[in-house]
Amino acid sequence: MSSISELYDVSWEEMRDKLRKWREENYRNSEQIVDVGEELINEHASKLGDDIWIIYEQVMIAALDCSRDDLAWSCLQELKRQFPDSHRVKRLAGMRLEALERYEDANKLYDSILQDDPTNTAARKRKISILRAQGKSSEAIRELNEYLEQFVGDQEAWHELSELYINEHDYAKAAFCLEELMMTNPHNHLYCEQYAEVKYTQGGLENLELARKYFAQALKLNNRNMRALFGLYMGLFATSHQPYTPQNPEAQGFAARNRDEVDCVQLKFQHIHGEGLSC
Amino acid sequence: MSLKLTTQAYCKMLLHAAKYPHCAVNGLLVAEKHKKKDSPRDSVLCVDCVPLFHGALALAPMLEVALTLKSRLIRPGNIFPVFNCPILIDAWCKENKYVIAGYYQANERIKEARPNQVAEKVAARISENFSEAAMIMLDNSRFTMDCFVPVLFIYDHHDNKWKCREPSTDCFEDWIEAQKITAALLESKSYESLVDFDNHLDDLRNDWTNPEINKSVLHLC
Repeated sequence: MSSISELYDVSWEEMRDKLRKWREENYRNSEQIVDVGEELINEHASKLGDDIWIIYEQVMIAALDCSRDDLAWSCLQELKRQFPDSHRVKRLAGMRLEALERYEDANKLYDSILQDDPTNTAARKRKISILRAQGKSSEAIRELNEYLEQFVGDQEAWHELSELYINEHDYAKAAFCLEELMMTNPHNHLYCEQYAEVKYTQGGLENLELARKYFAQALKLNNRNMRALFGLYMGLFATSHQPYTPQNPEAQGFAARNRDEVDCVQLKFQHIHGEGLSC
Repeated sequence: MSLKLTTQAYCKMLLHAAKYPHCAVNGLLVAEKHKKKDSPRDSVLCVDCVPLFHGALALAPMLEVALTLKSRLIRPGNIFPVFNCPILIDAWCKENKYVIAGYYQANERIKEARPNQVAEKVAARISENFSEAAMIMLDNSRFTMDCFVPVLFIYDHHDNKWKCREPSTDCFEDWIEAQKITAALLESKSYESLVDFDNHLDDLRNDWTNPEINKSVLHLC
């Protein structure tokens, strides 16, 4: 079994930097993290300095994802030794119990953290994750709503809630969550595009028009977003065949304009074909 | 009307599920178009699968792009091999004389193998165009690296309901081969290079027809 450094011809510094990149951008490539991290810990622990503790944490979580309980346990032991009374380490111990499906014990651990420190957001979010893992979606949604009443600025939580609502087909509420995210991140084309997808899925002329607008906005923010381009096309198509109704006399006008825009989008596709752009 | 799977179709389904163990995944199964339209087939052979999405499966726009968008967007005759333009499933099916014959889904949670609303809707849509369409749910709880047992629940459409078939190895063209090759590809982590339609939308250079994996399957046969 050759090591990562031999296979890919990388130095330990490059491996450490890769781990940092994955950590900062929240990647869930757990198998890679375990491979790289395990080697770093086993071969180069002394060179890492204080970085080693955060690497232990990252590798432990990745090890849980890969069912490597041996590795997770040894990382946890090191962290417990270094930070004996830490809530952060306690939360990791809870995550290990979750991975072993010992949800009762995990909940007890998180409750003890919350008794000590009621503002500990990590423990509360883990409790909600347990509900999700057990398939208790409505309870997870309820708890997450309560959490967000207190911690309104937690974007990760808003996104999680939007996912839960989408899985329950409650698109109106999912849209609300994405609106919160768009308000605080107006330049994020991904939130715009996801909001448009939710609106499109909701259906109905108004929502389709709104979807079309937000797909267009996402494209404006990032003109390589293929989903936004496809979405814009689908939205235009869906709204370009509306008959006149007395309730919505402008519908035909919009429809005609949208039919012209369909041609523009087709030209854009050909333009992409020529330029070889990717997202 | 029984559905059969080739090794390639089964393999790619499992690789797709293995690539995203923390997400729900779904995709389509394709069969060759029946040449004699009047005589009925005795079985439908699904020769390949198209991995579609991972993560949020309940959103409509990209699913509609996958299922319904026709190739009029692309200049005719210029679909392949230029990989910097979107490859539409409809165009690929026409090129290879395939028809969409089934839908597969693996749920997010290990113990959850029942078809949900999304699965039923998509499968119903497919059966509008292909009356013998089947819906396949992956059984995550029996999914192992060795692939000793088939991990599928196959559902057929009877009287507007989806009924689960008795699990057996009859639905494989060659179960022993499928088991061996799938286990080998899982062991060699081929799932890391599997491309689904989502990956294609992220970067048009990613080819969801997965020619490299198809080659590996052929090579191991």
